[in-house]
Amino acid sequence: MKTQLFKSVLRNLLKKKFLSSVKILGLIAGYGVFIFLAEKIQYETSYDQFWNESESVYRVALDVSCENGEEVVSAKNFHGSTELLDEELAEVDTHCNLSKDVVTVFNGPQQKIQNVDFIWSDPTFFEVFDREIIDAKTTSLLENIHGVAISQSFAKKLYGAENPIGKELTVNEGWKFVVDAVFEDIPENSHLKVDVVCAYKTLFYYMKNFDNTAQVLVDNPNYQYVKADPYTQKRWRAPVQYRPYCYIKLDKGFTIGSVSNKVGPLLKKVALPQNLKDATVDFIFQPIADIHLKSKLDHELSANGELTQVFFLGIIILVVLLVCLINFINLNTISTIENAKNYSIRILNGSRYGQVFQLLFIESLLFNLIAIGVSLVLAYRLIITQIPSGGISSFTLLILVLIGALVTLVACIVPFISVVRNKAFSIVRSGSQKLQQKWTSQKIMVTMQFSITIILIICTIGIYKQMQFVNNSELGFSGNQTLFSFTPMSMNQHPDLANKLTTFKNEVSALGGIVSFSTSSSIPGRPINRLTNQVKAIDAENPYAASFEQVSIDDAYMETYSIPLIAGGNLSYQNDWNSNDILVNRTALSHMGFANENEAVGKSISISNNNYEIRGVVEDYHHVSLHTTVKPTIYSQNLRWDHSVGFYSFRLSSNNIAGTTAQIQSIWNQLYPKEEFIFSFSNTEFEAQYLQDQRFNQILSYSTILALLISCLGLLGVALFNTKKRVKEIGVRKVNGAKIQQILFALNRDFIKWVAIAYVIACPMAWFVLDNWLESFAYKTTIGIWIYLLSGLVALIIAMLTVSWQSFKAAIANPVESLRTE
Amino acid sequence: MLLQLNNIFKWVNSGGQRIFLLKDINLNVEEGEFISIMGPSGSGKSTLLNVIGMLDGFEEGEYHFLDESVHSLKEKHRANLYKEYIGFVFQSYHLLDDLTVKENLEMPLLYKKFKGSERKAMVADMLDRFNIVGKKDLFPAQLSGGQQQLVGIARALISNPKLILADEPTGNLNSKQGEEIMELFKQLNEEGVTIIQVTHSEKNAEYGSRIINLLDGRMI
Repeated sequence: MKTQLFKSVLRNLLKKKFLSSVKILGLIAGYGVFIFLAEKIQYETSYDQFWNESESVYRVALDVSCENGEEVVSAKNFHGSTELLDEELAEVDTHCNLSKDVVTVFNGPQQKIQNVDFIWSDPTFFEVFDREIIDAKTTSLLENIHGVAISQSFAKKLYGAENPIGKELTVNEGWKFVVDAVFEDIPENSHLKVDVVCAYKTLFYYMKNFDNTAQVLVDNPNYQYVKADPYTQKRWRAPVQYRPYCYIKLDKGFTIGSVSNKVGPLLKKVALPQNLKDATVDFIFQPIADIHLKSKLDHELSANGELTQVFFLGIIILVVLLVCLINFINLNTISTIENAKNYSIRILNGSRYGQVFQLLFIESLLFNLIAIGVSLVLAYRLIITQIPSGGISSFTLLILVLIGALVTLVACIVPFISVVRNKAFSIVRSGSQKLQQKWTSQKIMVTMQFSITIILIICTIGIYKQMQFVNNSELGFSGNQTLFSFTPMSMNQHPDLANKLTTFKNEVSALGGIVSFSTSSSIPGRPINRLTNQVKAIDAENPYAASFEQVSIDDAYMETYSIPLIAGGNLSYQNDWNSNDILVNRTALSHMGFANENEAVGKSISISNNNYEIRGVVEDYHHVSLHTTVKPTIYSQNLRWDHSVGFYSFRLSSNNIAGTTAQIQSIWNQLYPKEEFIFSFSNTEFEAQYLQDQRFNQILSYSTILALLISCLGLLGVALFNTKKRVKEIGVRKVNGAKIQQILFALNRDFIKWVAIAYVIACPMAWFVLDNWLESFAYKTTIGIWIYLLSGLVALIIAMLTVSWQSFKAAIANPVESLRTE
Repeated sequence: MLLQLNNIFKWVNSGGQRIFLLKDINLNVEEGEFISIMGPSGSGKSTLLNVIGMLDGFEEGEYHFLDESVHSLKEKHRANLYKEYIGFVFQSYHLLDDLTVKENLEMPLLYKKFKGSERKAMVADMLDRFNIVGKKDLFPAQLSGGQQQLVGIARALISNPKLILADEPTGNLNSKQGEEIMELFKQLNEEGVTIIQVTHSEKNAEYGSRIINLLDGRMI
């Protein structure tokens, strides 16, 4: 009995190859999208949840509101903040602060690793961020003044199979450390990326005792590290670039609510500097698991994800699954109707209704099993290339099986009830002419499918347009044919820095392929990260209200990046790369109280009590992506930049770029033999800022295409059914003189109506979604009415093509066939 | 002469064998004739009717309708020809379920570019002539079989064809209804309409002026 049922189902599938493949394709597309996006969402939401007691670890962010209403909420905080909390509150178990540094790590003269994830932190780092210590020389980690802890994978990279414990490594300008401990890697899904941890006291010790000329450390056996007192002003003074990220861990049984209430009174005990006394200072406690998706503060440690994008992905999953389910039910109902005669013959011969149901169930199950299998394979291949965790979780599998079961059941129950158990189901006549009352539900379903698809189309076009806008916007600078590299790390603080730089510049500028060379603390595409609110007019009592971004540049920077001067003159060449001249951008003018650019030229201002003269005003340009507005910026001429790491930029003439870079390389190797010359193109660097947006757009476009595909498959099935149902009518009309185009029109009219209704439903929803997404850009494109019209047209054309294929076949058929009396 | 069939052959190939549906059919039909085609099931009656109605083609032979050679006409011309001159009546009526009686009658006119007012007049005329004015707003399902066939015939006649082709018009009707329909055909024939009907019933065949007997696709 069972085998006969199974055989019957199988033969039926094979006989209706077209309908069967349409059904399977729809399911595969739907399940595939589900698996991939479910993994993506799980990955995005899994950030920082792997830590032991991650729910009790908080980052303490700083919220400063000035009297003039300006508010800065920074992910960084003062060293004193967590020290004070730990000192005063029983709720706080422990704390650690950490500062990121940009370093190159050397192992001997040969091997080096650039751009290492290096942090300075407190010895309590591993108490807050628990990692298994794989190997260690000592139990008191980060207490040895020469010691560092490195991650397992970093140890492997640096030392291969050798035992890393006790090995020496050199950082930047020659600071030598000993590997004291190897810790378990921090997974990819953390906002914290750390390969090397070194103690703050080591930093201070080396800064004090390292002889930059001889490049050796002069050890001082009497050194005593005195931890600063959080109640003194010293711990609350650092400018943004020197502030750390601050974390606390709560003791068991305490909630963050009781801590945050006490911040105000606690701060009163501290001798805060004047600028903080005048402002309202508050702490924001961010659960670490929330940082990746929910934190959007200034000065974030690393680029975070976007909660809205995850939310959109969730919606896409729902939408695609819904489309897929509707589609499958629809198509199943249609094939049930087509098979109605077979079912009625079975019943006529004594089959029970339950057995017919079994037949439907087996068929539905078979489709789902095949689709789940194929989609798992396809999705897996995509996942391993796209998501770092790389795999399909058991959670996804479980949900997939549940969804599969639901689809299987619903897709056989609906046709069973609406076709087989329907009163109109006559056991002597085939059902196809008699089943018109259920038609409305199919119309509604197809309309829904199309609404959803049109929303997706509109959003995809809208997002694409914004990305085009972003790519084609006048950025105000040109990064064409411009290379950049980091400044040589081994020269940091080195007395020869300026001399060698001059030599380098002279030799490089002499090359035929070089248009200009410049060095600066930041380049377009890299966040500036250096803010000052200590800017004031020279005779004024109080600083200007605004915070100014500060970039250190040289006289060639504006030329290298083709940024136009709108008033005054450029910086002039200085032998020591240093002067008291500055440039400001247009946005800075109004914040400094100048009416126009000419008024500013030649005026002196004071920055942190040093006087500078404004030489010129430059046009605004987008230093970072269009997600943020142009900030008031001061360009000063010196080599004192954040963490002593800056950039070299080279503008090349168009011919022979490869040859020129090779020449630069040989000059570099002569002057800075310890370091490799690694360069990238400035344009690529700038575009990298939109990686997240582009990925999202990509996912959205693919989902749209798949949803559109599924919807079309659904429409195709319905069209198939619709024409089949109307075959007699078409015959009668043709015999009575209807032309082919008249039949086509009559058949397609309904579908046009549905698409039109779907369109009306879709437009406002799409507008809402798109509007929300565009909010994350400071500069946005206009979403014209044409996008809506175009999307509607696309949907209509695709729908018509799909439907007409069937309609045309029906319209040209010979009416004799359809009118033959049975 | 209304139409002339000369040596018509029609066959299909099935399993490598040629199966003849019509074999060497020769038939002349004058205007004003009332012909009954008879024969057992599968003898080719309906096929012959479809060939005459130009709904179906044939493999060999000549077919002249009025002055046209149907066998050498293009599909489009052929369609125009039957639209203009031929009306069809079916055993199972083939009325459109979702249209009312009135709309069913109007339907063929929609495809022949009559103006709205003309259509209305012609439909009213036909309703009147068949005494079904009172039923004009009913749907086919609300009518008896005889009444449905009445509407079917009215629809076939509405654009004034020269020839009515009827495929077992009384097959689904009881004897009284059948008799009424046959009387109607007779009356129409007397008014000048040429009729060719396929029938199983000797009695109905008697209404015709000529009987053609078919067996296995051949006239006997």
